[in-house]
Amino acid sequence: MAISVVPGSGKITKIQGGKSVAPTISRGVANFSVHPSMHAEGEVQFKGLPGDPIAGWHVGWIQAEWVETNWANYEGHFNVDGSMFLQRGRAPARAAQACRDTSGAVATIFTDPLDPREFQNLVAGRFPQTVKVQTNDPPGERYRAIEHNVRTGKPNFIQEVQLEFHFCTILTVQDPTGAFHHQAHFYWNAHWQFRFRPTAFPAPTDAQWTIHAAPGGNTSGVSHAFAGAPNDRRFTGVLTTPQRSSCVDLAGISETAVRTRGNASRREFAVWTPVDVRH
Amino acid sequence: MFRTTISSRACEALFVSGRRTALFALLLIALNGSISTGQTSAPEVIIRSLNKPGAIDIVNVSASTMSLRGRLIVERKRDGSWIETPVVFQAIESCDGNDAPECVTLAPGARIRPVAWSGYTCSGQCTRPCRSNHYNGPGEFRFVVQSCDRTRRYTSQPFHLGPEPATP
Repeated sequence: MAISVVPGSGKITKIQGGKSVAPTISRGVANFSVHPSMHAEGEVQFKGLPGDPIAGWHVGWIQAEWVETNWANYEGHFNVDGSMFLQRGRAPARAAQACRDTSGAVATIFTDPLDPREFQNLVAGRFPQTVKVQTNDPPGERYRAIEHNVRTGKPNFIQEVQLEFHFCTILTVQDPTGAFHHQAHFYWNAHWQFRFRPTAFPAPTDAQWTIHAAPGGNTSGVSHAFAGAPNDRRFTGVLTTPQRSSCVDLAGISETAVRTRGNASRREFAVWTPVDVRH
Repeated sequence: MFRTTISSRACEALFVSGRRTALFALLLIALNGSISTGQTSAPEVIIRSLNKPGAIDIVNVSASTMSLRGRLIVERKRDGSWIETPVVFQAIESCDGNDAPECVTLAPGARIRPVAWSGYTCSGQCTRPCRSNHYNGPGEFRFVVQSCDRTRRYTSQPFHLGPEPATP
């Protein structure tokens, strides 16, 4: 008898969504964080015979991010000081919406195959055997509070930011052939839309800002667990296929892009200019 | 007793006075008991553990300017071996929105005190552009500083990172 997953045994419990909290400004940086973290626990039962080879059986998590909204608008003190729009959720700063979300190299597939809480190997012993893992994630983001507008030579102050991160987290088993067997999954997200205004010019300290959520702008959500594999084609293609960049890589790439003068994702205007944040 | 009567600050004062010899480096090691270099000769760089797990100083105890990688390695002990984690830990002394450069330069006797590591893989020092980001403890960990050309490694003493702090 070869080792196999007991049908229907894979389940996710104790699901807690990550809660987006109001941003703070520290050392000139607007920080967006989640607290408490997303958390979930998973377990899968295996059957087999004592002596069956256990090498190559793994239990862990695969996570995809499939929606990312990520932009910031900046304004000078006066109209002639200009404005800026930094678009990190769309090309060219971000090549694609969906990505596989690994802590290390994207080729590892699992969220972190080196962390014994997130990832387990089957162990020698009696069957049936239940393998338990858990996952945690507090995503975050940052924007500089003040950017220099090269068209006007003036400081532009962060005025509004919108972030929307949507994830699907999957409890999965990898067998010795390398094939994945998705056991269950759930969805979760974190949203921030906040407006900022300095209370002093031209060099506000960290304490000299007002920060207010846009109506409905500070929300987070989480689903219950669904059995089996997800079937949403907006992200199923990135779950186990070769990928060039992880979601963490993409977030870093987009930050670098909007900090680079001349990049099309960093739009600088000579006067206050409205923009279509969808592009 | 000698160990408890000379502070790290006193050691640093000695640095300033120009006593940058290998002998002094060894004295510093003895006083702090928290370094390793991965080399058999006199150390060039030491990593001193500070008052809490994840808090360190990186000190150039050589007579030469050292070029070190701005990103350190965090290793976890698993099944008796040290393995590299995906933790982002950088030689940055404040959370000013910038990542460390590829290489940082340390003059003889100079030190860097990185923002302490809280245990998270991505935001363990500062809020950053993080998506996957999880608490890596509990477990045994150590820091590794590399020379910028990656030919030399300097390791800290192992330390225990406890379980994730409870949600307030």
